[in-house]
Order: sequence, then C-alpha cells, then structure tokens
Amino acid sequence: MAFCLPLFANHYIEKIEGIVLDAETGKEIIQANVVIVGTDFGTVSDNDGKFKLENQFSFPMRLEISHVGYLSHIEIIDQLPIDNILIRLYRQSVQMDEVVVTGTRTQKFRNETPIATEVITKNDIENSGARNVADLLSQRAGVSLQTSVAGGSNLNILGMDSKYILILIDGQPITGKFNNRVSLDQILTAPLEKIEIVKGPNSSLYGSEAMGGIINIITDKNKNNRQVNVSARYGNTQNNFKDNGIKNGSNNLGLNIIQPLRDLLLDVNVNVDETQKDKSVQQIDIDKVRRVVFEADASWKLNNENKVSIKTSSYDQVDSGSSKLMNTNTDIDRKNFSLLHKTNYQKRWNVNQTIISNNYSRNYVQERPWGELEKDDLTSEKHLEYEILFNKQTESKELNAGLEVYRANYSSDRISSGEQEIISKSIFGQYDIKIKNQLNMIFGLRFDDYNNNYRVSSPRIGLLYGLADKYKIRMSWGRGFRAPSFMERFIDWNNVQFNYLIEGNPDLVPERSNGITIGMDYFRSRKSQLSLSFYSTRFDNLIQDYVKRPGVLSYQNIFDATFTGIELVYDWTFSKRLDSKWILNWVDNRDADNNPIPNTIPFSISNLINFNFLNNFVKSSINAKWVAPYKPQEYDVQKGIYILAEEKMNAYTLINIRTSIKLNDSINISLVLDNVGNYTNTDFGPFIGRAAYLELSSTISR
Amino acid sequence: MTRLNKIISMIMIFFIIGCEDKNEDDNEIVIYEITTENVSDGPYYFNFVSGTKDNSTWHMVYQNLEVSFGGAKYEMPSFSLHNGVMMAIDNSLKFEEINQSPSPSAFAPENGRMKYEGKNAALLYDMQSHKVLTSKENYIIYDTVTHKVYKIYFDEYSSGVVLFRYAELPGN
Repeated sequence: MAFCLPLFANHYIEKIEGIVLDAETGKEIIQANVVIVGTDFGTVSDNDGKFKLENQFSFPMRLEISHVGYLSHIEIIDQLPIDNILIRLYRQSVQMDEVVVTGTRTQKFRNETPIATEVITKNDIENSGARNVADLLSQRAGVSLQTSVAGGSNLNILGMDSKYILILIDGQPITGKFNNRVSLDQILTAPLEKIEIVKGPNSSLYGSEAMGGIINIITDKNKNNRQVNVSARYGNTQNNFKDNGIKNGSNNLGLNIIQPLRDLLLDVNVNVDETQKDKSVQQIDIDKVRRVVFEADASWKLNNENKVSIKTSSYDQVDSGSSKLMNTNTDIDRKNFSLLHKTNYQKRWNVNQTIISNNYSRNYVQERPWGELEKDDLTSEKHLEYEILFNKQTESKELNAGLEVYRANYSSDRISSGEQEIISKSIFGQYDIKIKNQLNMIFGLRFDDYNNNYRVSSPRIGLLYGLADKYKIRMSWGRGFRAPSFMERFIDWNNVQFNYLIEGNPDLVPERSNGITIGMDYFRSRKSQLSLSFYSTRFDNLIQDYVKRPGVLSYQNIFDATFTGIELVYDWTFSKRLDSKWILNWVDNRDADNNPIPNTIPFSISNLINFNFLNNFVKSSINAKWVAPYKPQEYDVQKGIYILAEEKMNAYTLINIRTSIKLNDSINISLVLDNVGNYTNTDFGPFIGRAAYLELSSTISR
Repeated sequence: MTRLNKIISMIMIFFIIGCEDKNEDDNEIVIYEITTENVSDGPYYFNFVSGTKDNSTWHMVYQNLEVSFGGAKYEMPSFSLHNGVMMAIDNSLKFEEINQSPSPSAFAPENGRMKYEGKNAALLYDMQSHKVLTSKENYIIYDTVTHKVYKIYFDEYSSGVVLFRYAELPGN
C-alpha cells in the first residue's frame, strides 16, 4: 500500500505561474520569495509581482511565499490548473514584525535585532495629522520641542539636546544645521514611509553625532506601479482665525508621480507648504514661511546582479517678516544628489557604493523699510562623500564592513578666517552571529580620522536573547562621539545686542559618550507587545560656552553629564478596527555635580488610539500626551549661565484628533484638530493653540 | 418753492457738517509716531513740545546703559527722563483710549523707573528668547517747565532702533 501512494499523489507538470499582491492595497509585490516547502527550489516575483516555476512537480505540494514586511503565506496546491495562482500577502501590522535598518545598516526584523529600535509607521504618521517631523515627534512621550529664537525648532529627545541625536534621511546625515542643530520642521511628513528611533550611542556605525541616539527618517520607496497622488491641505489656528479669518491660514499642496518604464522606475515628488502669520513663527517675528520640496528618484535594474539609483532633491525655504522698523528675509536652500550602485558579487557579497553631494546655503537679510541694509549674512556648506558597504550573509552569520571618505567646506559671514574644510576618513565593521536561534550577538567597531587633527574609535556590542518565545532580552553597549562643529571651532561673531564677541576654539576635541541600553520585549500574543528599556549614557568633554575674558565668549570641553531613562512602550491591536500604542518615559539627567539638568521633562505619557468604522470608510485617531511638571531653564544674570528655574512648570496635556473619510477607492478627506485643549505657554511652548486642518487627497493607480 | 427748499436744506447740511467738524477738533488728540536713530550711533534726545530730536532741551533720552552680566559689563539700550519730567503709568485703558491727564497726584519723579531693569522699564531683555522687547505699559509724563502732559507707548525695538508713539493730553 505504501508503495502505491506515490502513484496516486504524483502528477507531473511543467510550470507553476502566479502573482503576489498586497492584500490591503492590491499592489503587486516584487522580489517576493516563492519556495516549494521541503526543497531548495524556488524563485522570486518580478516587477509585476508575477512568478513562474518550471520543473517537474509532485502533488500535493506546499508553496511558501514570503517577503520582508509581510506575513509569510503557505499555499497548498493539490489540483490543476496552476497557471494563475493569486497570492495575497498581509502586512505585518504589529510593530514587532517591522523590518528595521537603522540599528545595523541592514534589513532585519525588529524582533531579531539586538539593537532596540522603535518605529513610527506610515499609519502612525498619517494618523498623527502632523505636517512636519518636528510636529510628529513632539506628540511622542519623552520628546519636547521649543521654537528656536534663532529660527526653526529645538528638539529635546529623551531629555537630550537634539545635537546629540544623529538625524538621518534614508540613512544619510542631513546637510545644513543652524545653531548646530537640524531643523526638523524643515522635513515634511508627506513623502515618508516611517521613522526609526534607536537609543544609545551608535557611532560604531554612523560616526559623529550618534552620541545619544539616532532618528532615521525613511522616505517611501515601496511604490512599484504607476501612481499619481495629489493632496491639498488647508489649516488655521484659532487665534489667526479670530483675527484674520480664513485668508491667513497655512496651506500644503503635494504631488507624487510614480512611473515604471520597463526596468526603470521614476518617482517624482513635489510639495509646497506655506504658513502665514502662524503664532509659532510670530515668536520669531516671521509673517510667512514657504517651503518647496522637490524629489526625483530613478532606479534602474541593469540585470539580476546590478541596480543603479539616482536621487536628486531640493529644499527651498523662505521666511519673511516685516514690521515698521525692519523687513527680514531668510532664504534656505538645500540641494542633494546621490548615485547608488548595488551589486551582488559572485552571489556571495552584496556591495553598495554611494556618491553623495550636498549643498546648503542660508542667507539672512535685514533691511529697514526706508532702504538701509542692516545685515546680509550668507552661510554655505558643501559636502561630498563616497561610501562603500560590503555585506555577506549566511544562515547564522552576517558581516558588514564599510569605508567612508568625506569632505566638507564651510563658509560664513560669521567666520572671519575664510572658508574652512574638514576631511574625514572612516572605516567600520560589524559582525553579527546567531547561535541556536536564541542568541544573537553583534560586534562593531569604527575608526574616524579628522584631517589628522584627532582620531576617534567607537566600539559597540549588542546581544539579543530569546526566552520561551514570549520574551526577548536585549543589551547593548557602545561609545559615541560628536565632532566639534565648524561654528564651535571657527566662529568669530559680534553680538550687536549684547555687544559681546564669540570666538571659536580650533583646539576643541570631540565630545564623547559611553552608554548602555538594556531592554525586554514581552509578546503577550500576536496582537500585543510590551517593550521595556533602560538606558544610561555618560557624556564626557561636552562643549559649553564660557567667558574667556570680559566681553569675549568662547567654547571649551568642560562639561560632563549622565543621562538615564526608562521607557515603556505597549502596542495593542484589539481587532482590525481598534489598536493603540502607549509610551511612558521617565528621565533623570544630571551633571557631574549631580544637579538636575534644566529643561529635562522627568515624566511623560503619550497614547495613540486608532479605530475605524464601516469597513474602513471612516478612520479616527486620538493622540494624547501628558507632561509632568518640570523645571525649565532660566538665565542667571549674575553668573551669565542657564540654570534650573526655581519654580516648576505645571503639568499639561495635549490632545489631537484626526478623522478621515474614504469617499471612494481613490479620494480621502481628513479633518485634524490639534491641541484641542488650547494649551499654550508663551515662554516655553507649545506656542500654537487650538488648530484645525482639512485635507483632501486623491490617488490614482494602475 | 422747490428751489427754496433745496437752498434751505443745503444751508442746514453745511451748518451740521460745520458743527460736527468743530466738535471733532475740540476732542481730537493727535498721535505722533517717532522712529529713533540707532542707539549705537550715540544718545538720542527727544523734545516732546517741539516733537523733534533736540540735544539741548529734551524730555526723554534713548542711550546705551552699561550693565553687568556674568561678571562682565555690556551695553544695553535704555530710556530715561529728564529730571524736570514726572512720570505716571496708566494701564487701565488702551493707549488710544487715554484722552485725559491723570490727577496731579499720580505723577512722581521717574527716578530710574523707566530705564533698563527699572520698575517700569521701557525696554526689557527676554532671557529666554534673547530679544529686546518693548514694555506694554502706557507712560504718562508731565513737563514741570511747560506744564504739558503727554502719553507715550513704545511699539517696537529692532536692532538698536525704537518706534514709539506719543500725544499731548489736555490738562486736568
């Protein structure tokens, strides 16, 4: 009888054909793995999501279809015909299955990497209703945002000044900082896929600035079929509406076009954002801010082993303001170009080479209404970088290595010593080993050499241990650094207001950090996950301004501090209609004398609840954030330094509500209510009171 | 008859308009707007009676004042009044709505109240935003020589230059 079974079970045929689609959007999924279970025989789906297997097969068979970011699917095939199999893959909705790249510079499932990574998903971004990354992040516990008097916004994340957090876009640092910080309100949320947040020092992979953590802003590249998306948004704050009616609101227009042309994929994105007489920008005497973003991306698959991508983007921001005594105009211009070549060498090594060119300029003009020019400051930065990354993977081991050569030229009217140049050369490696599917370890090391002025080595060790399928324990230790900025080294500027001089210090050495992160994930079911993490980072040689002599300020490596925090993140998917995310953040930051560091928010809680009705016809989100009382910083006139204020700021709550209605398959209309409780604080923020936005978006795809 | 009616009507209209104009003239308080010179160019002396910059006969001066911060000395822009000028503060009404002098007992010597870090400083330095801000107070001054009363409001400060408004108030 046993001998007879194969005779009944086996049917010989020539080919199996099918297509793999996203179950939610219906879009084709390329590069999905299709493997016959129990064999090594398989293929991948092509650019149209189609796959074909040609061989002699036997029935019944199990076909496993998998793709990063999707739940794997097993298709049992036991009958003919099999030339038109339709496979629908479901996205991994719960964050524990997200694919992340930031912690290791390679794609890994979040629950398999020793480097704890938090993900703000595309859904979270859309549900937040935030216009830019600064607004988005400020909704999260442990993050506070202050409108900078110098323009832009100062971010305080995990109790840390944002200059100690490396901000990346698609894995690359952002050119053009003002006051040593990236202005996150200059990055619009419209083209984003997700944001990854990694805590702790990570200079072993990324070099300078990854002292306290990384925020990687990732643009949406999961678009493979022809698509046109148009969106328009109008918003206004309650105060503006009362004073000026609807004519002085903020507007946003977006256009995204995806066009596949055989092996070439074109992706063009244009976004125009305009804010007028917004209270947040009135804080810095600006009447109008206009931002124009243009991005074009072309990817060309030369053959199965080689792929080339060209990306160009430009960002233009004009801030203008006028009063009876002064007209001001700030023009910020950022142009980026990158050329990426991906290849697979002898099917063993993945090699990525990238050339990146970034140009940034900031022109600040002050002119009296009667024509007298008061100020015309121009700052410009030019960056050129080449990097090559090697990656080799086996079932249980992975090796990453890379080389970066970087040149930056900087000139500013605030630097009297002319154009300055920094050249750095870096080499790094990372070894990832998996032992018995339970233990995963990472060892990394990086050397950075800056113009031969100083050399920095940054090691890192990470460990992930799986326990009884329900627990994951993570530990990582690493060192980070931040190279002194051009301004800190070379500034030569007279503050007209206070009539003091700021002199740069060319002898500054890098600020260093040494930190440990310990975390545990608990998977209660596939629908919920609890992540608890503890992090403690010691900062040495922090750069701080000091009085060099009466009337002259300069910078020195004089400050040490220890930043400690505990964070609890709870993701819960109750049903397809209801999910929520809670974040509790506790921070204790102290200087070398054990005094609390001003502006540290010791405790905050944020909560995002998403629910939908009527088969996704209506989607709603409520985002709430509670901030415990804290002591802000205030200026000590006698000492000439910032100190902890004597009085605490009261606790406050911010609530945002977003409702989106799907009018048909291609048109969505959304209404966002920001800061429903209308809480404002004119000294420390939030500066914007109650606000509302209305957005209309339409996507036509084929 | 019709023509006579028209003439009478026109005479009455002119009469009414003429009366209204006279009433307006009686109550009108003319507000003047002054833009100072840049404080870094030297002291700016202002005479409210003549409404001009006047280095010899003046009521208010705008100049840099030496102050201490963090162990060092800096110059900060500051206003102060002449010794012969008394000062009062009236925040009970908006600046535009003040049309009468306060009672004489409201006035007191300025005694440094208007200058930088004074009790009623006209210019303030915001340590959080590092900006020079103008006071939101309404200043009423009394010239003991001419016995004239003026109201002053400081609108704006920008890179060393100040915009202020003033008007003469009818005597009490």
